[in-house]
Amino acid sequence: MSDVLGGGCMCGKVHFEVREAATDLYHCHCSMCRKVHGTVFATYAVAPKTGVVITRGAENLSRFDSSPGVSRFFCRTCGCQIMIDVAVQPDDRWFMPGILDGAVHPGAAATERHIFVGSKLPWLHLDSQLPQSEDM
Amino acid sequence: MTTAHPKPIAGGCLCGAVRFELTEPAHDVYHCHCSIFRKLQGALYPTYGVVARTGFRLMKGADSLTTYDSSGEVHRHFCSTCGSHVFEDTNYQPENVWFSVGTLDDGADPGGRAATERHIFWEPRTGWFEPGDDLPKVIKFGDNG
Repeated sequence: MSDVLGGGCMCGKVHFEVREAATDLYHCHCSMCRKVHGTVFATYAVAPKTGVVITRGAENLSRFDSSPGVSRFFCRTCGCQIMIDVAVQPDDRWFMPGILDGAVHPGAAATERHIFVGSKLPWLHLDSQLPQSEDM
Repeated sequence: MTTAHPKPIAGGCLCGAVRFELTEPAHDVYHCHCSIFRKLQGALYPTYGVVARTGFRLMKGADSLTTYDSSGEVHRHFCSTCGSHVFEDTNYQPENVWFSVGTLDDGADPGGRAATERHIFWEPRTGWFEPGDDLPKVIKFGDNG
């Protein structure tokens, strides 16, 4: 990957870089992801953990374990969800494409899909162009 | 003119520290694509319902909320434990409360969608994702304000 992507929260206290190419990209419709973001679905990209680096504000992150082994990190000042570490995939790190600077594409376009669509909001229309699955 | 819900719609953050109820349906619902709200909730486009303050009841967790003023007039309240953005107040519409639609229990319909649901601030959106629906896409807030 030639370009380093930058991203961060609204208040600017937390900033990160994505230095390695993303390997996965999806929109999650499970109730946990909806609630923790307060949104109708959540969008995540996955990259090697060594390539997703907090460059500013690590001390300003709060950690919330939404289930055993799933640690979510958010800015304690503005509440922006920043990244997720998952114990069963210790070499990966999840980041939020919606907070990349310049609204750039996170990569891994070929993997983009809707997951856990069995839990999606009954009234939400989904883009039929993307694959959909009942699990991951 | 709004109609009271026969049964309140409940919502809250993921960890359960903050809980609220709606006793009226939302009178405005939109998906916001502006960069500020994307960067507050870590999402492609947060979705908000606007409800009369008289129809919004904070049931639990006032002491668990952190407030972030995204501007001098917009006050965003999120759970200090799990980070979920639950609701916001504004100086310019003190009679209303904005709630995050994704925090409603069981994917409840916030109400008010038929007349108002739309994509706002369509211009600064994350251009690589298209919602793929037939909802209006407007500059700023559109016709509703």
